[in-house]
Amino acid sequence: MFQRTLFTQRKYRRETPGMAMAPMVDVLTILLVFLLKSFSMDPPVRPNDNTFTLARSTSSAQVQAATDVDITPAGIYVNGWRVASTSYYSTHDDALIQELYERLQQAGGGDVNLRVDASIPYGLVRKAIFSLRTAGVERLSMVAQARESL
Amino acid sequence: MKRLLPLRTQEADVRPVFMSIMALMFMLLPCLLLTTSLQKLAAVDIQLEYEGAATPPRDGSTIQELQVHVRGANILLRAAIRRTDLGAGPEDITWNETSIPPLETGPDLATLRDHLSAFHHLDPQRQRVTVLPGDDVPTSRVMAVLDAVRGSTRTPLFTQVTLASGSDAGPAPGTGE
Repeated sequence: MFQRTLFTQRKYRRETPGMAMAPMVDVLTILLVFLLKSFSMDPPVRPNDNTFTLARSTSSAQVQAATDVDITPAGIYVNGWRVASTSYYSTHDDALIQELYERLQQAGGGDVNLRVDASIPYGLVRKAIFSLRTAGVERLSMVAQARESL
Repeated sequence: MKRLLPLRTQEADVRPVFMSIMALMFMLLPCLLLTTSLQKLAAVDIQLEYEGAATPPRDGSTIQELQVHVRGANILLRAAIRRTDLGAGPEDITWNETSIPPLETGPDLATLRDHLSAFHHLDPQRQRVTVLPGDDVPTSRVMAVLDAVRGSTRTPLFTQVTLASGSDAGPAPGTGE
């Protein structure tokens, strides 16, 4: 009797593949919304340098096109070109980063996006800002990773 | 009563509709994944102080100067507040110093935000603040302090931030450095 009931229930169980698709559509919708929210056309900051990490910020302001000055543990770069050594200016007491100053002065100051590795101590950033303002930079933005980054 | 046309009792099959949605999503997902960058960038504008502009104009504002000193995980908040008693002249100011001890996880940014919010209520017109980090403070911590100083988009605090550079980045008073 018991076995017969089990067999009867199994026999009349209906498969409904259409209904199993609904949660999958839900998951995909959530994934799509998440991807659209974190959608970014910003190019990678330093694609060949895996160790470079920007600090995080709650700011949501867009990064404007400007001269890029990168400070990484390996060196100081202007628009991707290495101009000075990080270790030298971290250990010496020079207030001005001469190479950075000269390069920016040649470029006529203008606007600068300063992209600094999260681990760089402020002593070096202070020297960079001093060099930029001495070179006549008019607008300075520090670039950070937005909180919405994946 | 007999119906002219027979009533359709069979439910419509929803599976083709689901399939088309799924197909659309499977096409959209690779497109998004190919064109999107994992890193979303944000800009934090920094005011540059040039010679002669280091001291803000002494107008009638209550707060004449506001400084946030960062030394390690310690934060010292200094505010030059104009005296408002009857005997005080326009140049009479009082320096208010508030030391914010660190938490186990790092600087106490919530308390800093509370103090800055109080100063903002005292002088809502003031937008300018100077942040003076120590030489050994990492950039990630400087950025966290900048976020606390600027406030959020709902409750902005001091949006014109100056980072100390050159000779104005002296040691914080009262810290023994």
